[in-house]
Amino acid sequence: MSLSVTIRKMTYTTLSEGASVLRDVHFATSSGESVGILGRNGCGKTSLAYAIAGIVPRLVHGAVDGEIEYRGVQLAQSSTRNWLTKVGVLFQDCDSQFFSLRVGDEFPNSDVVDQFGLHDFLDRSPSELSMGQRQKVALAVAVAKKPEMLILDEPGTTLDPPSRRRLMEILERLRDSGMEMLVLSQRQDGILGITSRVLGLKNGGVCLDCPREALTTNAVADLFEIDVASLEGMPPAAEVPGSEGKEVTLCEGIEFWYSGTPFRLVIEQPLVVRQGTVLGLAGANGSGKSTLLYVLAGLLKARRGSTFVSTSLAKSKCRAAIVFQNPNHQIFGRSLREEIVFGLENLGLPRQEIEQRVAWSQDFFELGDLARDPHTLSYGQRKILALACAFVMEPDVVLLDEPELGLDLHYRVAVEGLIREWRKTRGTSFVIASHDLDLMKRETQALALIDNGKVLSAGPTREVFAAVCEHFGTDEHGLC
Amino acid sequence: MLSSDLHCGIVALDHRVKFSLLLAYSVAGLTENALLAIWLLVSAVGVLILCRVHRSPYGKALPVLAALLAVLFLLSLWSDPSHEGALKTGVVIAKWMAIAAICISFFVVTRPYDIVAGLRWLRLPSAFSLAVGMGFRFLPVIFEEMRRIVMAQQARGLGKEQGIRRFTHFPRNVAALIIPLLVGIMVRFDDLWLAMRVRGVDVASVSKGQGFRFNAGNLLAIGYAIALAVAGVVL
Repeated sequence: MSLSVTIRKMTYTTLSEGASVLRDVHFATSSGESVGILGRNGCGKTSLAYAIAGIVPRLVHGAVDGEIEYRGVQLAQSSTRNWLTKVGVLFQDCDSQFFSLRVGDEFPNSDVVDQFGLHDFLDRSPSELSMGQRQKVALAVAVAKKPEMLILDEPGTTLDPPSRRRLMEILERLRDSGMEMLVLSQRQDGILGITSRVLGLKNGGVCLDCPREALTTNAVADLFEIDVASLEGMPPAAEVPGSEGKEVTLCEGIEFWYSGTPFRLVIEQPLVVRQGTVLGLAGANGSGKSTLLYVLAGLLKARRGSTFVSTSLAKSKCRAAIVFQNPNHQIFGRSLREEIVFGLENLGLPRQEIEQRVAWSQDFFELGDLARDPHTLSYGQRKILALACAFVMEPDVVLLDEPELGLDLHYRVAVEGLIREWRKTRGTSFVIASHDLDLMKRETQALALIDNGKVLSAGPTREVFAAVCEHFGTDEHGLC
Repeated sequence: MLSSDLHCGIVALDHRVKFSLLLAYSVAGLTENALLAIWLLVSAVGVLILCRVHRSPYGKALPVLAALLAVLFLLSLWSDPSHEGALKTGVVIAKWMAIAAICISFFVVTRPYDIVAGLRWLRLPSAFSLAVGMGFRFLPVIFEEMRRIVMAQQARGLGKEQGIRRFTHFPRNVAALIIPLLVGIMVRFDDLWLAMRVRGVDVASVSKGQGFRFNAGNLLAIGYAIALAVAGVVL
């Protein structure tokens, strides 16, 4: 079988920080083969993908040594234009994929619009779509130029289970039609299922190369630096005793809509979370989960009704912190330290207390050098930073929008552990919006199923979970 | 119904025709004739409405632009309060408003692919075409970034003070916004540039091979553009 991508002794060093992101990477893929690249946050997956796509060092500057070849043609001997017509890229942050004011203007032709069922989105602005809808459009955009090879950076992570199933079907069709794929992932299941071979990346080098079926639990645990027991599944959180206390009413009789859109968020009944417990918000892409979290946080003002928590410092309300779904929407500082300290200074804490909390977050979230510019971090690392910024404020209620999105297994285990610990020791309440039904089942004590801006059913997780699975047409692990 | 048809008609115009109209308004903007200036303004506002700019991300920029021009007009009146001075200033402001309106309308109804292809059709260099193609996103990017940063800062307690502190902390809140906004805009432009290059927008292969369609809409628009340019030079 002829070779497709060949990489020989490649090293990539960023210009901004002078750090070696990839070291001595060496591998080759066969023609027609779909390969998964697995690794922790910041291990160099995206840099490797960018190098293969020709983005590094041509469009994103950096020093690249070694050889990159695609179907016998060396990148160094090909123009960026020619190279990029062969390779399509789906960015992890799909917002970076768009440049038009209207979704319809993103497509040079209408072939893929039918294939991906995007007719309803064509006249809308990409910024009006939910994250899941945006990822669907972004994939269609990458496929539209009919590339020979498709590089997918964490595909499907923002999609609800039915949309993920449809995405899998589309990807399988594309793969079967001969399109080669390189799938970057932080988890060994899910979309990685379309690949036949897995490469493990650790500290910028390839440390694992095996057929996907041969991927062992031990190898994954070693790659993500976690215990095998954690990988096999944490026990449901309900078994962990929490300091379940008084009820915190989040909102009552609220209504919200974005000007010029038909979408209406209407939550008539009081939404309540018990102190020291987790309330899960489940629902399809675009159902209004993120909007509800923004309204609860006070970042969007409800047109009617009352909210009783807020990220503001108003003494009349229960203090909340929010982590956005997309960390790029949350990061604005020039250094990690500035980012973390920002909220603490707004709280008016004494300097010593601030330093203590910064040191805790640096240690727990493994943030490393706090002088680093957050814009140089990987997507997953930014998500970790966003989580650190929220937790460090020690709020009464933490609002988490897809908290596991972008996190590798190592951090997922750590964050879930932190949620359990804070519930137990501090009585912190959590509201989690997520598509991950496994997470919902494990961590939440109450669930609200949201559809088209309305609560379809709400109650204890053990009572509502079956209805949520039925709504998505999945089993209890979120598998269709 | 009619406005919807006209909207579709404008969107469907060939990108080269749209460019010609843009150039025609710029040439007509050379005029000193008050009647032509008024026509430019009225027709440009009409196009602005038909292009549904108010529903686009540019809609937020319109009041800011109008306020800026009104301030300029008042300043000019203050320096020269005579009837003749007011008329002169009025003509200049009307022309500026017309050209701004037509530019914004153009960006709203023209795909980035077509903007770059149109500039390449005018034999402009690829890098310049790409830069202009990106420039069309400038105002929306500023508004999007501002909204994003304000929300992110509010999520961590900034700018939500109550009572008198709301006013005393206003300068601090604005200062906290400026640098992140500048950095954010740079980062967004880097992203936009990368997105356009990765998708091969500079190649603009889509529009390259398209022949000109001699339909009524395109011919009428070309005729109007020629008439406008001639009027701008003659009057």
